[in-house]
Amino acid sequence: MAEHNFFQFLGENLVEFAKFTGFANVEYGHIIMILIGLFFIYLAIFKKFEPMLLLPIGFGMIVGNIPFYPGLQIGVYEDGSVLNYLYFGVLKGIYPPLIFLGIGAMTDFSALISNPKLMLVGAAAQFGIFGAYMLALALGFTASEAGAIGIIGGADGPTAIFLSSKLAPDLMGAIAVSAYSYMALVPVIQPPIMKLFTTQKERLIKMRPPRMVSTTEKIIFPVIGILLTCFLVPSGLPLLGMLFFGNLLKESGVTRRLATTASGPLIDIVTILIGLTVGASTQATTFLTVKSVGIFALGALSFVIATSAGVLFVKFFNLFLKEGNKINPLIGNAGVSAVPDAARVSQEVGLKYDKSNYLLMHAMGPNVAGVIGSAVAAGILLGFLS
Amino acid sequence: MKERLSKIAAVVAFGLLAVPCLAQSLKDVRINEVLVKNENSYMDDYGQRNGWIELFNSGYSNVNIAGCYLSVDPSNPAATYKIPKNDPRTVIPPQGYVVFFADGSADKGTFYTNFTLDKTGEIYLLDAGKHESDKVTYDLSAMTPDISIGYMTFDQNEGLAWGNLPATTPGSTNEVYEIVPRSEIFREHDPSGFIMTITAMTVVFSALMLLFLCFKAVGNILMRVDANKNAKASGTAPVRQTAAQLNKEAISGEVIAAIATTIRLFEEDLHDKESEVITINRVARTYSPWSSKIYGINNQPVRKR
Repeated sequence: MAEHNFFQFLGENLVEFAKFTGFANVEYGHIIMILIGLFFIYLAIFKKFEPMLLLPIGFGMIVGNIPFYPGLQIGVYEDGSVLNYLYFGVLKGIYPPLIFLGIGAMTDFSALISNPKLMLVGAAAQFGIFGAYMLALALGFTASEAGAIGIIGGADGPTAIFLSSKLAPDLMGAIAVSAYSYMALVPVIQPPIMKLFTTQKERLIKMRPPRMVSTTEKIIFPVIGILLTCFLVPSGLPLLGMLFFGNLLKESGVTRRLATTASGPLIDIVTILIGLTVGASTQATTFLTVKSVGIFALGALSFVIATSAGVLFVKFFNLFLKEGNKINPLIGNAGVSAVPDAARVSQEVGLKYDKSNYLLMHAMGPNVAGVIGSAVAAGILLGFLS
Repeated sequence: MKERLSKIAAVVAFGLLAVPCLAQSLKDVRINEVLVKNENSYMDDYGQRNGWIELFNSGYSNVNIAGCYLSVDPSNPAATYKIPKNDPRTVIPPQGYVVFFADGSADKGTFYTNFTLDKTGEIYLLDAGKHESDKVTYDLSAMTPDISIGYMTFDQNEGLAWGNLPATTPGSTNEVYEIVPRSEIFREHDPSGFIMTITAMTVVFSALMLLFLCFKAVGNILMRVDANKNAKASGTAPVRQTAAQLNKEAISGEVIAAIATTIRLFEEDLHDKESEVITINRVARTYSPWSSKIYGINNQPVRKR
């Protein structure tokens, strides 16, 4: 009798345990999301597409979609779980400004300072954000959601996460994954558009090499930068403030240790945390929706609009520039930020048409201007829609 | 000395007692809603209907109102109620509410004041030092039974205002109407997003145009200063180079490519993976009392006389 009770108890325990396993709680959605996560990891490792981002996000997708019995305080959306605490930095927009601090500390604005007119190219590419905003409104998204979706066109992951956490937290997972995916696909998306809108003659334009920029100019840049942009758009302060602060740490030359930490260990730690938690936030139940499909479609369109606007603006701008000062329209795409991939695309496409035409340094100008531009645009959207 | 110490201790003790009601955090607490005449509204724990005062912590940290005062006439101790200490319920959580019943009896508990609301037409919230932190006034004769007064957004463009509320809401927000988010109000005026696009792009262009103009000016000034410096050093007239001259002097693409290749080759030479690795380990006995002979068990303790 006792033996029977023992085995019965053991059996019941095993059945009870089975209820808590992932196998008992798995749904099709989980499998799909895990497969997407694995695909991201594949792209990161074997295709080298933005591995710093796609690897943590891909693995985060697996972490976030392991099925579990609810109430054990383990899921990213469960109060008190470790993942929930880590996700707090995303939800409250803490990580993106820290990443901007690191970006500021590792960015050399010399290309922009030596040829400041390239800033306007960075501004033009922000049409992608507002083009996507208008399209999202037309598709029936609310104004806040449309603003959050539009920022995908800024091609700036931290900005997208920051704005969506404020305007549409429910869509943040889809928006972040969409933004990072398209940033990784910049070498695929942009070249056909650049070729479509340029003539052979324009592609061969050789730009004047950037002049030497003095240390004084480099130090003045972040100070004037924050004063001008943040007085105009104070809502962009968390991102722009940190960006320019990080840059001043780098350029001042007296805070080398701080700059090294901001551009090294700090940004690495935050990138790990943001990537993993954003990936984990894409739980099948919240991610696999019709809205997510719409977000991905709009994200792609926003990149197309942004790239086209950048290239076309350069062509327009060239009408007013003297011979010798003209800009190669192949650097117009770099205005979408996506640093430094978009600039690298300009370089590669440029080299295809002229083996001696090195556009990388010129493209870095609109590229970093795009970062400033998208942060300003995010501030405007936040100001109007929050 | 002892006397001085006891004085210091008294001052410290007084300071500590005052801590629960710090003036700075009390600023976050406001008198949010008041019902002067309660006939058929909110009932207290004793089953009675009295006037009540709702306090709201508008801040984002806990505020302990223990030691603070509620009063309808601060000069009159009989109309001033000191909120007792040692009751955890006096800690108002962020964005939280507490309700005090003004029934004029001081012996029913923490949330029952020793005054009623039908005497003066004023309610004060005072800090531990009896300094005014918040105050509301009302016209006693205009008070309608079961209609409370409080802060509410009566007009989207005006922000919070004090007035008669459409419903009594003790312990919760006074906003009973559906609040249309600002973004949706914006959308009503701009359904296509065209105005937003024009506005935002104008601002983005303005911001970067300002930077452009500023740095064009800064660059020109610094280049002129450099040219002057160089001229002074060489004793010739300052010369500014034209774009064509700069182009001429520019390093050609081939040279840049050669430099880039050299740097790349140099960096690649500093590789991490070595084909052969020789590891030399230092062989040394590290000292430890555990392995030391002088502490070994063979060393018998020596008794010193």
